[in-house]
Amino acid sequence: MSTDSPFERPAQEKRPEFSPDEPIAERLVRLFMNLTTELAVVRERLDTVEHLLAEKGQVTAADIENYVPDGDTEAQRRAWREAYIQRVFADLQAEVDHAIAEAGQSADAFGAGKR
Amino acid sequence: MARNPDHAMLARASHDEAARTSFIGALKLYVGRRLRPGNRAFFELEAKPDYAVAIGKEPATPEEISTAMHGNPHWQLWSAMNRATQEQMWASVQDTLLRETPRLTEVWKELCQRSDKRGSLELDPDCDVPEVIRRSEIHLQPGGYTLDRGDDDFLAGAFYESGGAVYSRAQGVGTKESKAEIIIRLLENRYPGFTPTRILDMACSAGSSSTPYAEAFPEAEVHAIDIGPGLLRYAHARAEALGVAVHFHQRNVTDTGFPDGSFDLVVSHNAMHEMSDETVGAMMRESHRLLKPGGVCVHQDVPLRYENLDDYMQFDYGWDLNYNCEPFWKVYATNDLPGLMTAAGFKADDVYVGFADQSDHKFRWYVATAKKA
Repeated sequence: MSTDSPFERPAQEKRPEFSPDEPIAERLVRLFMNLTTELAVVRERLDTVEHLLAEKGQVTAADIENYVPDGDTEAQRRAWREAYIQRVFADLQAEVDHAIAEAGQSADAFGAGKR
Repeated sequence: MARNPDHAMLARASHDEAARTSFIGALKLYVGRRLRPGNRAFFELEAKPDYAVAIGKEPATPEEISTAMHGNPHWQLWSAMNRATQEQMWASVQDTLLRETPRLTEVWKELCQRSDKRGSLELDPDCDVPEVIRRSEIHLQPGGYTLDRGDDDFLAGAFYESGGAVYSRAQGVGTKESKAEIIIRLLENRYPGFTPTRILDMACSAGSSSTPYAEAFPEAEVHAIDIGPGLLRYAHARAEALGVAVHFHQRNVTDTGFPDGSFDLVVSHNAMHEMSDETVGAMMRESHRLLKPGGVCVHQDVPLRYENLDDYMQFDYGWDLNYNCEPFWKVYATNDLPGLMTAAGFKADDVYVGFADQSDHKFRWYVATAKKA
């Protein structure tokens, strides 16, 4: 995935700094999110290959490009993405859930924010 | 009528591009729904007491909460992640669009040059474009709404529609009923028997909300305006690809150039939050001027009202203003829509400002509507 554009990108020139004391950490977050994404892309391609092999016993690059998942496969992929994200971010999610419980808040109540 | 109808101007993602964009959508949803609520807990547990120690009193206003949270490592990490997913989304959409541009340019030319076109496109190089819009990449859309690299450049509209589809899927918004469909239902309920014959869609962007009016009111003549030439070039070809008659013009909502009383329905969709108060006021005055007596205007937008939010949530919603290029987010969320409409000439009794529910009641939009006396 490329972030280069053949035209001016003012928003990328003025990227915010959320952790001014730890600029490297912030750049690593971007790299980590990209890497997490790329692994999901490879996994989905593998899933396509497995489906094609099961159906036809062989696979070409064109078959992969033309593959259209059926509803069940699409639902399985959605479930896999969610489970994968849960695994990757498990530590962070545990901290968040713990803090929400300790603060006596409810994740569902967030967003209402009524006075 | 599907919310995201298939048409010839849509880019076709490769296998891996589609996988990437779908995953980023899931990631956005996760960061926005599962991790974001933690920020409020970390505010109570960490940022608030830290601020009190440093400053000598608890943070009370949205501004003080913001100061407190900017020093909190959890908020810093979440913000870096949230910003990253938005940049990832556009980078992924951009990969597909730039690869597809040569093919789509041929499709675009064919659609624009057809002899049996239903609608039209009128661009005005002298159209007044506010400086803040010209140099902002609203929601971080690459190149912004006014990207214009030449006479055949439709990329701004392609970005708008492709990015918007990822964004709303990730948000879980609007997948069942389009914004225009909700407003058409509101018209039926609020103004029974109202059948417009001339319709104007203001600040129409890629025209995704313009075409449903032409489909719902086939006898009506539908016009749509925006300031972005790349949005309009795309919107025109998109409408032709769908076989729907819409006339697109590059005009500013503050000075549309149409004669007095020339429409009986004036609408806008998700436009007000990209406008200054002066522009919204001028759009309301134009709505009043353009309507025939008995005509109706409906301006629909995001259901973001600061009067319904506590101080923490006002801070929280400010994230988009500061880090997702939404310069008018707070201006919109605190504006006085009933006041702007009555100042524009509508009678207070004829004005309704409030929510409009999606048919499944899982989401609601905000609307400002009035009938001209």
